[in-house]
Amino acid sequence: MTAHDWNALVRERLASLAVDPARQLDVVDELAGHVAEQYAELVAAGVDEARAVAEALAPLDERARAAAATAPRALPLAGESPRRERLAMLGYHMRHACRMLLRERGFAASAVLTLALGVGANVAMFAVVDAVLLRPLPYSNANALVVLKHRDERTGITKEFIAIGDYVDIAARQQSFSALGAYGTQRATVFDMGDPFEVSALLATSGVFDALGVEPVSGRVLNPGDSRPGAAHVAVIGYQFWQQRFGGDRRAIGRGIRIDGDNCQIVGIAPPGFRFPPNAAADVILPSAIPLAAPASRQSDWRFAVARLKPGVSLEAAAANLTAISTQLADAYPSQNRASEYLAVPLRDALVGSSQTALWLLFGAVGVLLVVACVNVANLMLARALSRRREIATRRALGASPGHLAAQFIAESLALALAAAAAGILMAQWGTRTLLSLVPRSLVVTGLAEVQINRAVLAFTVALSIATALSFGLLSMLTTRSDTGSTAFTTGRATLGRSTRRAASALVIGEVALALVLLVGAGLILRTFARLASVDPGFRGDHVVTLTTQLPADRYRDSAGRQAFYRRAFESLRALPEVQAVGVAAVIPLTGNNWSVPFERADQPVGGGQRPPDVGWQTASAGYFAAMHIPLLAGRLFDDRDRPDGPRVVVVSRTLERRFFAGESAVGRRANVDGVIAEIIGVVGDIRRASLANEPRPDLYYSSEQVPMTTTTWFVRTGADPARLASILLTHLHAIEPQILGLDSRRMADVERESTQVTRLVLWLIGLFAVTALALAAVGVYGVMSYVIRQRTREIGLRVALGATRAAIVQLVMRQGLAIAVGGTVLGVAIALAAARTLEGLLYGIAPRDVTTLAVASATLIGTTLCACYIPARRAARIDPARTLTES
Amino acid sequence: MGSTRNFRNGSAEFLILSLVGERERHGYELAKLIERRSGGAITFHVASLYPTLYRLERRGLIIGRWIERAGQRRRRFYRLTPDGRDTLAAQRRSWKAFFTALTRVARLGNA
Repeated sequence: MTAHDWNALVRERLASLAVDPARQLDVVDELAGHVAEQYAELVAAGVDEARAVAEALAPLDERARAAAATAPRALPLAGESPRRERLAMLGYHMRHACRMLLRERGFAASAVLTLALGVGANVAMFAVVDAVLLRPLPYSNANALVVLKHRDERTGITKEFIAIGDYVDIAARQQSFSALGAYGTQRATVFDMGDPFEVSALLATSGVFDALGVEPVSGRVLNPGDSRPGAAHVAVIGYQFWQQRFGGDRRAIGRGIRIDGDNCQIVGIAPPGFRFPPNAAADVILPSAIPLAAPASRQSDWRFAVARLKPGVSLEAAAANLTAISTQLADAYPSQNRASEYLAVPLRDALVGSSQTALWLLFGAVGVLLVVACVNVANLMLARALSRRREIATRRALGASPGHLAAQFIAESLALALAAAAAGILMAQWGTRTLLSLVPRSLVVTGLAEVQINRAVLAFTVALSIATALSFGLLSMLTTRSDTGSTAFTTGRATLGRSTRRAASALVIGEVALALVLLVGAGLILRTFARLASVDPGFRGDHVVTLTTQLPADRYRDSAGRQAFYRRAFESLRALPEVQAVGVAAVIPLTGNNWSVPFERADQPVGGGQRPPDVGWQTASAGYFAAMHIPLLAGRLFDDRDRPDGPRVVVVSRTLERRFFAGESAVGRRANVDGVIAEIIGVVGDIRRASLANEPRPDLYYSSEQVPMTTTTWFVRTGADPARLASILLTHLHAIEPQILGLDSRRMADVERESTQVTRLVLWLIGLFAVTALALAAVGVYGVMSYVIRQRTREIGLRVALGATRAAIVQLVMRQGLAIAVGGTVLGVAIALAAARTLEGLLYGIAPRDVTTLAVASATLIGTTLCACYIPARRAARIDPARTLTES
Repeated sequence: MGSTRNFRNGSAEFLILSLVGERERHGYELAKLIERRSGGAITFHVASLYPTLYRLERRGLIIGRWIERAGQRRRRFYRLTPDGRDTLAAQRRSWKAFFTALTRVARLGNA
């Protein structure tokens, strides 16, 4: 007789039973004793040795096939130190969990995939949220940075820039900021360093450097003297510019550089990576001229302003200080400052703007998606618990404590969640790349370029996965706990108890409700998009090409020179066969621009020395209206009569006429526009100027002859290929002025499309999340209905035997499915109504609590749920009563 | 599901309590005894017997102790606790009543 290590053989077979370590030795020893005696008896009875071993061990193999399949490592033994023992147990649980999952590949794959979907979407969105909203801006203590904004209390129009007169007075009076600076950005041309080239210039006062806490690499930053009128021209150059153009040579300091016709002396080099605003490269930094005292015409010039809150001063305190100053200024200069208020806005909010709402919304949506995924996996685990009940009961009977079983559940959940995290990160990597490729080029969101899967994102993923594992692990454990007792072991029937079934139904109702919330969100955004797509912008952008150009400022300082250039250019371009109409304007519609200017009727001044209300303004030539098909409704457009030195004329929009001349014609009337009397010569149709979602506002147009600019946009209507046209136009303009710069060219149709791009992007994403959630909910409902039917097989068999028709059985099951669907829908509608406010900022032309959307989403959800129920219902109807009854 | 198994499910604990009630016994002995006395109609194997024993022990009806003898594996012997004795007496009464009822109804005695 061969000697067998029965203990080892038994332990190997009991590896999966997670017996209480304190009792393990005893249990293994006792079972081994039993097996040994059985074996001895079999051999004594003449059974051959190998068969005797197999037969003696067979009952254990049957119960614990699991462990026999792979050669398991030894159980951690009792008697080791508690800490090491716990660690050993953890390792053991994890190994065991991995083995279980490898064996149940179908289950593991569906669970991992479902979770990976949720985790991946969350990681991708978190990467974006982190880069755009969470990661600190690249300035020291950036949370204390604010920008100032101006608000017209009557129209509610908020502008990011402030009038120069107000800037000077605020700088003198404010007590909340440790530093305040004014700035602006522009494209500038550098001459005398080979061919002229274009750079991004930051025009700033020394306060900008103080506020941002920027120290130069070499030399100095700007000082207050540089911004005084008549100061010598100086420049600070950007680090990258210094490296590229001066090869990093420190002797660059002190050298001259000709920028836009001014000879500037380089006084310092900005630190590497310095950008301000964060989305604009600062190749060169030039002093922004600030008058010593506020000029009489306070609004003659505009600046952006950035400030740093003094330590201990809150945003609210700063806001109160600004309001107090606004009131003082309004009292002192009622004609210019009445009803204007200055606000302090955190720099981050100002940079991120409206994308913030969309980002948080999408982040919320992926969170909901993850919860739905967790519920589904909890359901999968419940279904699996059915087939594992005997195993669990055996373990408990063999002395596994509830704690051990819980540890095993958690270990399995954790293994699933970590696998899902790995898959999720891969999905997120792909997802962020796709997401970013969908973001329009024109959408400038700070930080978007820096989106990456970095340490913060990985930490988030791991934390998320552990939270996920705990939640679905506990969910499934709590729902099975009530009936993992001895009844399962003795009855041996795989069933879910009433409480488990109820818990599973509750989970699915929750899941259906969350899917509905996403569906409603997607529906609202879809309808917003449809509304935006059907908005008439007031112009026809198809077949219009825009080309933005800049004249060299130094050569076109006087308006006569600019005028001569534009006349020749119009003549030359109009002669082209490809060109049907050509005009110029300062602003491209639908690009968010909302310049405004105070306007009042000359015959009805606002009076009381008050500031007139603001209207939008634009500079345009007659050809602009022709090229854009903006209809002339009354009067005439600009023509040769409107001399640069002649009386000021303006064209107004229909809304302006209605607002200011109620029922009368505006043509021929005179108006005071920002202190200058102008004659209204024509009325044109309204256009949506800042964006499609902004209702037309009162607008006026200056003549490009009377108010010419060095940077303008050409609008050309063409029948030819728009892609080729831009270069043809530029060639012709070059022939007239060799130094003209082509800055950008876009088709107006693209501008229109890009103006709804954020909505389109949000729509795609939330739509995708909603459809995924819907599919997951359908799978969840299908799963629960399948258990319920397995559970009720005998009852259904009995009903069929007693004469119930197949249709009646289908109806019976569908009724139960309908209860889940309706329960989920009611709950979902309640959540959607409560959460409606969060969507407000993203919607256009539709209420957040829109009844139609709620109804359609609910109907879709109930329909899908019922479809998911139909398959188990059909299966129930096919139950063979004879078989189910005899089986019992 | 065979009748043997149903019978066993309902009576497993009773059988074990009865056998342990006679004298201290170890697991293998219990399995053999049940098989032999039932003429092979009831069998217990290792994975079903021990869970029942541990359950009874946890409920305080039986108590086990290791006994070592020279030249043999150590064995765990189980005996009844006072609680176990009461439970066994109660179970005996109810099984007896049940069999009496069965006999009367199904005329088992006259078969």
